[in-house]
Amino acid sequence: MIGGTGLRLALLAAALGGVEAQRPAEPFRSTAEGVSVPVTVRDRGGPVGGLTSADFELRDNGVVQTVAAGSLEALPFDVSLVLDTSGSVDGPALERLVRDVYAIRAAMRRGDRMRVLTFDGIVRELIPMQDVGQAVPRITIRAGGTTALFHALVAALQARPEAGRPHLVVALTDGFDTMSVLGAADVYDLARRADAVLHVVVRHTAAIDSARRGVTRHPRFPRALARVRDAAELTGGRTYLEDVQRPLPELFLRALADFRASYLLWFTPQGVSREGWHDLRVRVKSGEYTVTARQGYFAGSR
Amino acid sequence: MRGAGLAITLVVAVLRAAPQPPTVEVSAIDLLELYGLGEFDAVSKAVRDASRGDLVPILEALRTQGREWIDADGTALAGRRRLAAATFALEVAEAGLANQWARSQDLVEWACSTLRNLRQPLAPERTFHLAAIALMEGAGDIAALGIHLSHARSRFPDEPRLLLAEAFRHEVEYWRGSMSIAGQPTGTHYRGVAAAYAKAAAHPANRREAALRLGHFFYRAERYDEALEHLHGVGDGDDEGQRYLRHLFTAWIVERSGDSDEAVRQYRLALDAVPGGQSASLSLAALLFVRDRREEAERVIASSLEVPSPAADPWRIYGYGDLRRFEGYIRELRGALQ
Repeated sequence: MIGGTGLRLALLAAALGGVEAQRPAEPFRSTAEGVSVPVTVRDRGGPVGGLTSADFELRDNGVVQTVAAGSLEALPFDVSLVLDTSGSVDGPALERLVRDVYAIRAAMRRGDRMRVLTFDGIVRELIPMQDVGQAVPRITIRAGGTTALFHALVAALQARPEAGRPHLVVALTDGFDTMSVLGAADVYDLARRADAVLHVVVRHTAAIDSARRGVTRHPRFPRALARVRDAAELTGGRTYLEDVQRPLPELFLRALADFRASYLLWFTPQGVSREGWHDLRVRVKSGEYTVTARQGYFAGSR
Repeated sequence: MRGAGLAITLVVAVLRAAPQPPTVEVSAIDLLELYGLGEFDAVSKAVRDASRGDLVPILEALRTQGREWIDADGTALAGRRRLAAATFALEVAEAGLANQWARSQDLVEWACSTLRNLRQPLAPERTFHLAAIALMEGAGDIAALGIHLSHARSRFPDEPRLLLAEAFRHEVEYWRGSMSIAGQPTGTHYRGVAAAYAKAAAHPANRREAALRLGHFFYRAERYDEALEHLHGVGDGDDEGQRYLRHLFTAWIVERSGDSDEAVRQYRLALDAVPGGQSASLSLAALLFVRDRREEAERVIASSLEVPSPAADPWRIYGYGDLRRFEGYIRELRGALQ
């Protein structure tokens, strides 16, 4: 036990350096024993660096906790890239998608790991979670007519992180789900318990625009998109509405840059009940910043 | 004739070549000729490639030259050639199902009228109508389905599957009505659907399928007790897809009522029928995950990603009615042409 967990903690500490407070038993799992919280701090100029534990205040169900803070910048991490291959993605667009996947892998750092899921009506694992330096066989992306976005998000969010490695899920989609038996509410429910940070890039098509403005009827869309946005924010991630013409690697790298510029706060909950939902509130003690952080965690089974 | 035979041989060779044969001009009637000779797979592939373009030339060729082709070898073979032309048209129609449905519908109607021109139906014509109905259901075109059902009934009034198709048509109409702003479905509509399925279920050949669809209908209508009763009535037949869906729908209902343990059991029964089916796998994994059984959840997801063929999830095609049977019907028709 000590050998396994202790070694992982030592590796994490070495990677982060300069961490002052206690460290939980499972750094990237939220349990009653130890909770990790990715936090992004921005001002008008973009992400704010150089903050330390002393700059943060974290409340767990209203009770101030003692936290340790480190930057994610230096840490290797795991990324699940989730790509929508439904509907209009065909022919040249598919070939471009394959090139984009290679370009995204190439833009990541040695030691990072990446997994690629694609979805139309079916979720497929195109590349399993593996080091980005490791060769991948020639990949073929298939496209279909229906969209199982929620299935893909559920499959991606459930992956258990390896100790010491934060997990980022970046999903790129046109936002419509036509196939999943699970709904946006299920994604939200999972996000409450998942350890990943979820970023969703919704490519802004004419169809989406008309659905958002209520011009075309798509009963599930506006509410579902709002719920997915809530799920992403719950994990400390974001939803981006982007022009469909913007290159995929650019969209991905933006989400990645946001994540890399984050801090990781750890704490062992004190003065709160062990089980159930814990509301988290994080702020920077001084200064006018926008703080984005995991909004809570679930400890124990329901 | 020798020359024509040589040309056909060359075309066959080209069509069979893999993976990317050189481009050759092959007319729709050439393809029909090859189809009549039993080159089903090669023609099917060529049709699929052609369906990326416009199906109009094939439709027009059948309309203008199809009859001549059917009669070319004299009356002795006309029945077989008629069936070949109709089956060929069906395969072309299926290739255009997703993006050229109007053309596909015209092709089916051409084929249907070609067969109905015979006073006495050929035996395989029954299968033709079932395949055509499967396409209409797959397209969700209930107007076309209604018309084709009347054609099929006029030829095979005793065919039990037509009762199921009629009930399916009622159901689609019901749900479309329930989602339209203008026309809310009434209790009469509702009872109409239930009665149509009950009538279909009275025939032994339809019993399981009708019970399954009725169970799902009541589930959607949030009448869970009745839904469970009908789903129980599906029983455990030979059809893995039916077993999968029966347990999947049952799992949804019991999960909704808060019985998570029974829901897990039902999801697992569904996955026993169709290993890796994604709708059951992901529903099960989500349930396990929120109950903090994360390792199990991860294993379930992993196995569902190992076999992700579209056919691996019967739920994915449930809403398309009998479309899942289309391939089987085509196999039967091809068999009749051998």
